[in-house]
Amino acid sequence: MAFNILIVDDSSIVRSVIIKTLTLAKIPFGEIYQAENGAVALEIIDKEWIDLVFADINMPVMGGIEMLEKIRENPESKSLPVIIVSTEGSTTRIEQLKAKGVSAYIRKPFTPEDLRDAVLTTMGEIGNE
Amino acid sequence: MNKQETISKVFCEIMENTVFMFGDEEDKADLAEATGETIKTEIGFNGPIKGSLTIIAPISACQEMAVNLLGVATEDELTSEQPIDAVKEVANIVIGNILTEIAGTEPVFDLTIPEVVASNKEEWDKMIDDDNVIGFDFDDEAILLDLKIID
Repeated sequence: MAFNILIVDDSSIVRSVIIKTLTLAKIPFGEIYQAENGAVALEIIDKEWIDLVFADINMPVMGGIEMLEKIRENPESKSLPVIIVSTEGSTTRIEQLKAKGVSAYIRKPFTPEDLRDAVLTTMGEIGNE
Repeated sequence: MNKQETISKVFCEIMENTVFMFGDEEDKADLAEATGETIKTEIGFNGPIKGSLTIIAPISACQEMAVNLLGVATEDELTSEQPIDAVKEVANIVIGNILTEIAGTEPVFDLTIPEVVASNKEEWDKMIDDDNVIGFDFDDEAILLDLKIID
């Protein structure tokens, strides 16, 4: 099964790197959507079928944590898997994110294996197909 | 390991692992002079300690970072924004990893969004003369790094 993936990061180069890494990690993906902040991401989630979100924390307009809270508040998106991709290494922050419903956390710099492990953990056996 | 050694170790590891550029700390007097355009990026942090990280690099080094990040063949395939995005992303990753090395994994830090600020020959010379600034040589490209801790 191919996933429709939304990548949320204010850096276009990071979004490109994640797309490249998804290919290297042999993650089956369908449509790739991109957003430069959480507010744009919420609009895309409202209109399109999204299976998985990769999001940064630190973005202008709306950051990843506020975006995550809004996704979880909405009955239609509350179960949508969100993987945070960030440079932050604080275990306290990671625990806070998990308590808010983050599916997995990838710390930068990351390898294709890190990304694949996070997707498989999040999407379960679907990711093995 | 003192603060400067920690910063140097983290920066060199991130440069190797993220943009595949290899190098070491270098005496600033021995660094190649920045003759062309340079890009200066700054990112702030706020938590148990506060401050900012500044990286200044020649445009050619930033282009190499972007080429390696994206896996494209040459800088001709880059947009004008991508070298800037590349050095901003390197600064973002470097500060996240330096803060963990210095403060451990418990504290939470809020980072600002990396910004590109004014950069010219005068700015480069000012940083070269600053004792707090560390010089690096990556594949014959000089890069300067300044970690300022306020509290």
